[in-house]
Amino acid sequence: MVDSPVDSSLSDDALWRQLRENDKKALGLLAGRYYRNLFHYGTKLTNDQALIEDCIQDLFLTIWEKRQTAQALQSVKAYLFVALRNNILRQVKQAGHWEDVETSILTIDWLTNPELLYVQAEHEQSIHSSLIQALERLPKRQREAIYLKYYENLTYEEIATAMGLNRQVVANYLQNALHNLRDHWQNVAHILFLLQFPF
Amino acid sequence: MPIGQNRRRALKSHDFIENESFRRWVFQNTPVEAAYWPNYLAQHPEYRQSAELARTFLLTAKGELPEVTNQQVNEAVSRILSDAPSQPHRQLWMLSGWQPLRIAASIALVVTASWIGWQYWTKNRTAPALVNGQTAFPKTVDFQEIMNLQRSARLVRLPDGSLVVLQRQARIRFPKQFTGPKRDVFLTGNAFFEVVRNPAKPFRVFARELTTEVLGTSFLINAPEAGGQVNVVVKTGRVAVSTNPTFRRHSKAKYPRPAAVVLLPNQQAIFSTGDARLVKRTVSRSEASVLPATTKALSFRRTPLPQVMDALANAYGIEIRYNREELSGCSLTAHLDDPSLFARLDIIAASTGSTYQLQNGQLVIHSQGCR
Repeated sequence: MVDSPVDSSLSDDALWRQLRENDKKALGLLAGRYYRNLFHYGTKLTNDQALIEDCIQDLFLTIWEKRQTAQALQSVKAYLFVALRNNILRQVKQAGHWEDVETSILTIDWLTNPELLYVQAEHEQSIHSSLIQALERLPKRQREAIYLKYYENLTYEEIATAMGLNRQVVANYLQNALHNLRDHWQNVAHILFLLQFPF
Repeated sequence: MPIGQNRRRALKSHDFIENESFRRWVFQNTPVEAAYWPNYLAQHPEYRQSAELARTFLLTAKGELPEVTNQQVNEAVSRILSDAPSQPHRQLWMLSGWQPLRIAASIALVVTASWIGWQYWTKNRTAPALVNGQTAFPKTVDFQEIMNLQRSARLVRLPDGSLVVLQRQARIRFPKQFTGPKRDVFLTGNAFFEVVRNPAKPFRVFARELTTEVLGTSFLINAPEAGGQVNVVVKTGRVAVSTNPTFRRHSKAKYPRPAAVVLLPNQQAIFSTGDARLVKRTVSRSEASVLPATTKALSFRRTPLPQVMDALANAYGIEIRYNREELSGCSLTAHLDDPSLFARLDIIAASTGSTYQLQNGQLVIHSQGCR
């Protein structure tokens, strides 16, 4: 087999193609390109960093093992995220202490009540901190969707695939998060309005 | 570029959030964005609030991410590359040639697993679990307990052929037959395990707060009767270690928090009773000396058998008894690269016409003499 030179500026698709043609360098380049993103995403799923390392290692070794039968992919990045998520959740489940993230409840009552917020948000700083709190109180899966959408630039479809959800559910998650933001924004506007007319 | 100028309505936070360039500025502070956005916001003070809120939103969505250095990435990538076999032709052959075998093996596994499951269910057995240090084990299982009261290490051969090297004062409890779906044993003290591989029947060691599960590997467990920590050190293969959340040493002790780690060679899991936490660490050079040198390849060329036995005893940190007179006529030429002690002994026995047995945990070699 002739070793074809692999350029690191190659697209994901090109690397994937070369990898399927037994090019080990392409495997290394793909792993190098996405290692950090995958590791960071892993920290959103488990606190066990050693487990994340192992799962990423397994992920790429499995891809290599199955390269002969691998299919062309719509999005290599989304595929890597899906596979890592599955690996990690499988491991965590096997260890038998998967906290059910679905059970956490969204508590935004004090947020959606403008009067409450008005009392709380006497200045800009506290609006920011209450926004942070509101986002941090979102269920884990909603936060994960937001992370994938805005930090990793995945599309709704890709997030839906990665998280094993319906596209509509993902859209709802993100709507919900942005809704929080709008509430806050209105309050900022409100306060700014008040500030323009000091008593 | 960034945000369209032809708009009807004022920009709100989510307009900034949805803007990829704005996100690059917040997350990566790329040069192009770093030049553009501060300037833009200076020109549009009316959007400063919205942009700030968007920034807060995005940074919260990102959350805290641990630093991953380039060196860490490079190391991980080279680990992946060194573990990925690079013989495509053999791979092809393997895939095609072994496919039917693989399928057969899978079927066999499913059948075996269902049969075991059925057996398990019909006999209404409960899974072995440690509750306050007591074993809730089915009464039908006949147990054996071996404690090492000798000064030197004591060898135990488990029903499946696995080896346990019990250090002084250590004790192990195991069923006379591994009938359940898993090979479960219970350890107190310090012991080295060499587990015979059997993916259909995982091997589990319960030692105080930790449960160690493997398919076939070698590792060391130190679970002193009393003392601050329990640890598992891996010699070969992959080992899963998890806390046993139902275990408590005494009523005042904390229950360990549920946690699990996967260990590779030269990694260890440490559970400290003080904070009831499980951590994973690489084995330092000084710590590695507690592991027997079992993986060191032993090569012999017309070596007298007593010398072979001494090398073996040395590698495992055990004593091997033999009659020097009896063995001195025998010599061995072999390359023993399988790290399993019993596998090595089998080769030696076959090629020198000697036999070995365990007498009270001591390895004894007999030979008719080779003269």
